[in-house]
Amino acid sequence: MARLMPTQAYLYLGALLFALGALGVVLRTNALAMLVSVELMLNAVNLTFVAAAREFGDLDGQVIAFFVIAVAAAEVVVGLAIVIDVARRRPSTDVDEVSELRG
Amino acid sequence: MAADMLIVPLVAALACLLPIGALARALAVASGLIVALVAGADAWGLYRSAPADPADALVWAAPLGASFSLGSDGFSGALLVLGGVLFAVGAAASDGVAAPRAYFATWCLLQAAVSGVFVARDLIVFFVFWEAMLVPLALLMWQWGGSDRRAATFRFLLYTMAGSALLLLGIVALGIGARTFDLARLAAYRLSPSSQVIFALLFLAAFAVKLPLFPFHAWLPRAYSAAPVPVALVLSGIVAKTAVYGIARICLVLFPIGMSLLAPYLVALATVGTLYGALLATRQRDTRGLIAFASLSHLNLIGLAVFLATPAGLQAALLASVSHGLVVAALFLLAAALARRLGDHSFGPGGLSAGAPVFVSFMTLAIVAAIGVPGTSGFAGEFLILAAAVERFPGAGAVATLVVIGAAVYGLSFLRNAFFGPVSITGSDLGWRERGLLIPVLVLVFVLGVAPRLVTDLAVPPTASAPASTGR
Amino acid sequence: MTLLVVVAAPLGGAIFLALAGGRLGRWTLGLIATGAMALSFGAAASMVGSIPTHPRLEAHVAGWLPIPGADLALVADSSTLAISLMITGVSALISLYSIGYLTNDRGLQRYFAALDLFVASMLLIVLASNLVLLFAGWELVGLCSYLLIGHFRERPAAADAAVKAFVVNRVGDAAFLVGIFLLLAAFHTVDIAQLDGIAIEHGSMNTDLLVVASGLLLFGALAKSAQFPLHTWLPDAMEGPMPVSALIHAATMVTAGVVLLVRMRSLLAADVLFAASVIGAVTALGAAIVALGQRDLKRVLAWSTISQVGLMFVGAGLGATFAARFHLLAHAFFKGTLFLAAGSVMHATADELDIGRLGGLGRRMRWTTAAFAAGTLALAAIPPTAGFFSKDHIAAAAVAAPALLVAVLLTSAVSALYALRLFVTVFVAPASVEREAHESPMVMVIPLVLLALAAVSFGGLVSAGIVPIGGAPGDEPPIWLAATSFAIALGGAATGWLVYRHGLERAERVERVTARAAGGFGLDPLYSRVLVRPFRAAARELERGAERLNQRSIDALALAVAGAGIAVRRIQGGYVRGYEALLLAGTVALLAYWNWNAR
Repeated sequence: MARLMPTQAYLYLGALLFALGALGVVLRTNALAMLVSVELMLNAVNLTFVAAAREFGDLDGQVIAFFVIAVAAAEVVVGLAIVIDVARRRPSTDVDEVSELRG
Repeated sequence: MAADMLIVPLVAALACLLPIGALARALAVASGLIVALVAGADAWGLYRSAPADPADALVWAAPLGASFSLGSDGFSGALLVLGGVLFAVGAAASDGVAAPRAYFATWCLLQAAVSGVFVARDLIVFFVFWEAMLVPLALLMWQWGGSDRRAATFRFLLYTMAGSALLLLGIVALGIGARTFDLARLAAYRLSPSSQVIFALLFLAAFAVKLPLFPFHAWLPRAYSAAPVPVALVLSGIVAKTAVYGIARICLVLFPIGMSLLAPYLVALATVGTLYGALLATRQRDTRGLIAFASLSHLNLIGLAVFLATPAGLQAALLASVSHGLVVAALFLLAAALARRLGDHSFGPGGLSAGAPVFVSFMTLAIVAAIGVPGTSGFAGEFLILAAAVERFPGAGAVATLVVIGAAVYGLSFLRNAFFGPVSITGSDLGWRERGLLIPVLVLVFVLGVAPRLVTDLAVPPTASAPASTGR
Repeated sequence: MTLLVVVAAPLGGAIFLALAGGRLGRWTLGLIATGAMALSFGAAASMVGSIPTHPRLEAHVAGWLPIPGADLALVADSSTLAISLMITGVSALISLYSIGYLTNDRGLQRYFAALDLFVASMLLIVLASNLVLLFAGWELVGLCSYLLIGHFRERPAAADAAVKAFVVNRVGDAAFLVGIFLLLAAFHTVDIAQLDGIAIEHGSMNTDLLVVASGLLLFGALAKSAQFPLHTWLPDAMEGPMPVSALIHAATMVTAGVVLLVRMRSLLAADVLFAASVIGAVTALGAAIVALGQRDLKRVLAWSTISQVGLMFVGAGLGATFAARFHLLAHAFFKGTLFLAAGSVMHATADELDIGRLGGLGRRMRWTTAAFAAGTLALAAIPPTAGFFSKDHIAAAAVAAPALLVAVLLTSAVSALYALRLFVTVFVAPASVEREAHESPMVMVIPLVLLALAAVSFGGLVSAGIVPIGGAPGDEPPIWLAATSFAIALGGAATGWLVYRHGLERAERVERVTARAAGGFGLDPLYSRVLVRPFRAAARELERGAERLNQRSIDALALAVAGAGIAVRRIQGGYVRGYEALLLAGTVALLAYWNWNAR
């Protein structure tokens, strides 16, 4: 019987991906790069959910992963639409310069 | 039934939004009168020792222990009648307002919220109505007020909400601890003396600002001057009484030991406030400023009576509350009439008496009631308060009695400066409409002056359960 | 029920006139007011017969305040009934007189309504069964006094005097109120009969509380009766119309303090009562000297009133209630006569009040002169007028306290002096200014003459026991005392006649001395400096200091909220990456916290 990969490995990979994504969101100024980083974070979470589903032997984690994929798709649609709109009106998509919703 | 006090003004508010034009005012007046009559009938039932109005309860948020529970007794009944009368009089006195339907709809909402405070038997419901009063009140001041309205409204709102924040904190902490917000059940929930003091202070923060107890009155003079006269009338006449009601029927019932520990300090503040208001009233050269500081003096005296926590004190406070509401209504109506003749609210040149004898007579009657001359309800209330005060705190009571001197000075100096002396200004006498509004109010003032037990007897059933404090 | 009518008739008259008197003429208004008072007089008179069988008449109308004893209830005995008869009788006459006096006046409706209300309130003081109702009357007479002093509203002096009178009275009222509250707290009732009963049961009490309460009640009495040091409002109150001065500020209201002392005598602490008689003696002598220096006709009479009420305080304080009441009644008649006669003079001379500019009126106004002469003799206490008998009773009461007796006798001498000075300069001495003067109409003359007759005959009638005024007269004044006081009065009167018979100019040297006393006790400027100005300054400084500070407190609150907003706003700078970083940090912090707690 082939030994399965230990669940911890998935968790470490998920955490690593999540941290990378989070750093990307905070450090990158390009809107597109930030969206990509958010996707990375979402998928890191997906990975964790699926790993947990396998560990506990039920389907809840997988179901949530599907939800997240659907929501992520919607989010990308809205996010890209905003980015494109910003790109049309402004020379750059640098988010530090798009700060009109100041409190 | 207690719910009627809410339904009637709410229906009137909705109806005001229909395209009914000038009928809106009639509707607002009718709403006030109906509430006064229904509450009056309820109160009359109490006289004939009918069972107290059972609370209409509707479970609201069971996990929190909060239910939409309403009910009234003699104390709230008297204030509901007063509120109904004042809202009717104020609506009738709202001449030529811009956007009348919006104005009267807001007016009826205010009435509903004030009535709600008096009938709430659950702390969450109480707080909801307490805060709900602010919205229409602020709208009325902000939209229909005088020149200073924005700044005055802002300050009023800010100050009141600061007090409300502490009240909310107190309500939540108490309700979570006791696992209920029902006032009747909370009354049986006993706290340690030290936590009673803390809770009493949290609750008093809101009530002291709304009353306003000295020295938390900073919003008062500007609000009275900036609000439209009818709004100032209900603000002073009935909205301030929600604070009296809150102290008497919530603080004293829930935290009897805490309140009696705090009583010496509170009585001292109220005594100072009584004299301070009278003293500053002598400096005013504007009718609304005069009414503001005279009211500060009266309201602090009422506060003093409540802080005594004796049955006699509560009777006196209820009578003085009703009396002050009526007298201040008469004063505001007369101030408005004076302003119509002089152009603004300042007074000074004098000599109006020659051309307007009826006006002077009405003003004299109102001032006489305000400064507490026997035969008027003002005397009965003031006398009972001071008598109760001397019995419990002789020193403070004796000092507070000095207010009768200050009252004579500000009241009669005002008459002297506004009406007597050489004829330098002329103005028409009171018209029939102006008289028609004033006469019922003044008649009530004199009826209660001769038969004050109509009101004081109403305070008996609830005060019987109030804590008998030291002495006696 | 008859007792009820005594108070209800004038009260009803007042309410009727106030509500329905708008279109009525001078005569109708006056006759309704007078009729109400006459009805009250009749009701009181009809009860005199029943006094021997029912020494205590009571009428309970209804409950009033929720305080034990504070009901709308009246009680009368022979002595209060006598005072009530005087009040209603004199007021009816003066009201009748007013019809002729106030001819060109537009405010007659409020005048007569206030006059009726005054009578009802004054009767409350005399007949109330409890202290609260008595206090109600006490304040209401003050209110009527305010309304009537300020009757000529366009005159600034009248308007100011009205306010002053009410405020000074309110100072006394505040003390009175605290006194009532203390008695209520100690004895749990305000019913006068019950309080008396407690006092009698415990013997004379000099407990601290009772001394304080009695002192406060006395202070109230001093203000209402214009006794030193609270007399300052009365001379100014002469701005009111003459009939008002006659009724309120001579015959009735100013004697309310005496009525109070007499009614509460069993309860009041003995020390306080004695203090009342000392204050009365000081006031009596001082005010008499001040009266000697006045040149204003009404002010002479005003100071004379203060002085005479002081004598009543001497009697009441010494426990000689019969003497105090006797002098109260006699004074009402002769001072009423003097004021009404003075009013007749004013009516005839276009409101001339400076006695230096009057003179020689004796031939032109015979009725007035005769009445004034009767009043003068009574004031000077020349037998057989009322003043002689009543003052004699007070002197007899003071025999036990020689200092007081000396003061009373000296007052008597000075009174005779200024009474004659007034009469002689106005009516006898040659006129310094030629003027037309005519006798007043009959509606004024008839009440005047009736009052003058009472002033002359009342003393003898009471002394002979024909007219009962209630209570036992006590010991008859000893003969030596009567002789002495007669001699003193005669001496004073003769001096007055001799000094002033050629007019004030010819008595210049004397006038220069007496004029120094004209300023009164010098209390007006003192009060202005130590009371009125500090009061105003306190109000001003509070407004500028405390109130402004308080107003700023709200702005400070606003600034605090705004500052917090500005501080928090930095976070919401619009930099998306900043939000992200915070979000991340918050998540990490929460996870760390839970992780920590889970351990």
